Amino acid sequence: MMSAAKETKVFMDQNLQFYLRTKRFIFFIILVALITAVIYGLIAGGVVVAPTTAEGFDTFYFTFITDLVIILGAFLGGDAMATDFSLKTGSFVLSQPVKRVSILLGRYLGALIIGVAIVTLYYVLGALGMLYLYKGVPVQVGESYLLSLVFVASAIALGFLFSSMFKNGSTAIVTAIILMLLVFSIVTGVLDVTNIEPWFILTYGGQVVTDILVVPYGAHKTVLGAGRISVTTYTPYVWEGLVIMVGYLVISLVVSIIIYNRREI
Amino acid sequence: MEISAINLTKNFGAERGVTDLNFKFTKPGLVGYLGPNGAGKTTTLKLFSNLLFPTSGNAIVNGIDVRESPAKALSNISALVESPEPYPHQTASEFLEFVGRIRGMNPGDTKKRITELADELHLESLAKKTGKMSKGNKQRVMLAATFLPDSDILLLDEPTGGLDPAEAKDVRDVLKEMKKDKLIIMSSHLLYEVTDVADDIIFINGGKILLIDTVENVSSKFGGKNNTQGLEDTYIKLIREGQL
Repeated sequence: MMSAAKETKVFMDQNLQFYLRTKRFIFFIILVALITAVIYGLIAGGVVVAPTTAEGFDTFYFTFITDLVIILGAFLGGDAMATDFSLKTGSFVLSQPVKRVSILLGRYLGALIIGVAIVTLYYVLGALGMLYLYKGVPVQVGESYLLSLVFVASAIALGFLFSSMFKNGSTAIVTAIILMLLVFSIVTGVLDVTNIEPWFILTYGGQVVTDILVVPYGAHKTVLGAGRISVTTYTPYVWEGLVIMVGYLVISLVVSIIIYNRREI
Repeated sequence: MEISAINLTKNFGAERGVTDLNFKFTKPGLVGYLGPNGAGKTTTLKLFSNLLFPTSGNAIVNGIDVRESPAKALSNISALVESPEPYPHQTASEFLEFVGRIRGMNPGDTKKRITELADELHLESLAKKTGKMSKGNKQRVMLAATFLPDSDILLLDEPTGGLDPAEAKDVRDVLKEMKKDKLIIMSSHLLYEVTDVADDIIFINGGKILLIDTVENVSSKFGGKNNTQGLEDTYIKLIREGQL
């Protein structure tokens, strides 16, 4: 029998090959290139006035990072495990002398490598633009990049949670997108009105990726209006955002492993 | 080598899959597992390959309970259950090398074994992506993946399904050679196939084992008839009347 580390490596390689062969990696590269091209095109074409400082530019450029991470989480995590059931490879793979936790973690690492590569590309393209336009890159961009790596790790883990629950990969992807893009936004909006801090929402924690680009860092609690019609907007502390993201990462992976271990075919 | 079921039971909610299965095989040879659709053949094989978990009882492989130590128990098993397919984005060769890695095989040994199996099973181009292969070719790739590691025990669920008669004969020839030093349990609907390769036979229906005997004994009960006819008579009598 192989060691757990070797087993994990085999499935990591297999998942990396899957993303590369199915052109999903290329799709994300094209998506990042398109976002970047549109942003620079808007500035070059005079449609958007170029921010006067690099700090102003980075908050504009990285507006899309949250949505990009969510899409990465859904598409890289959503069908990673469910594919085995829809493609009927599961009855063969799961009857091999390999621990199921190694299969799941190996595939997670494969997805994470792709996710990190795409996020890194997005930041590199942004940094190159700032170097060209402003001759420098604010230190906050580096901090935002590090936080985005934690965010992408937790978003992919959440995608894996859905993948371990569903038999159909497409269902898992769609459910992950609906939850992270729609449900989380709606719940956060409702909580704003009810003055409750949405500390249990992943995308609220992930806000720190863009919040940290704003100098000075925003106030934790902002109340708009007064009395019965006041709306309270929360900005997570950086430590708080980290705790939320790491919490989602750990809980999603642990629950995924438990579900996958109990899964019958 | 040893494979045994001890009061092995699997229920699917209120529905019964298999009930109180008891058998033990300890020598090389091929055991034909016969029964109509829904009899419990695939369920039994899944219980031994950790794809289903028993409601009660034990599936034991070489003294190891599959449910308690699945990876250890499965290290001596190669299973092909419910017509799985290879990953469509991989070539046949890549898929087989992937299986070799899962089984901890040396890359050189894997390549050598793939060449042998490609010859024995008449595999189409190993460089072709499996997603573009016909059903029969995919089935042969899966058979090669199953035969790749040198497992003591093979669990095969209708292994010739989807193959044409000539391809099915190739598989039976491989099985005849392999059963000399391996224990193979093979479910099938095809009585002539079982007659051709099996040494022992299990009849199952309604999730219960009706008969375990050698093919020779079962056939001899219908003296003067050829083996296939003997098995067919036994099968029909057992399945329709529940006894011989």
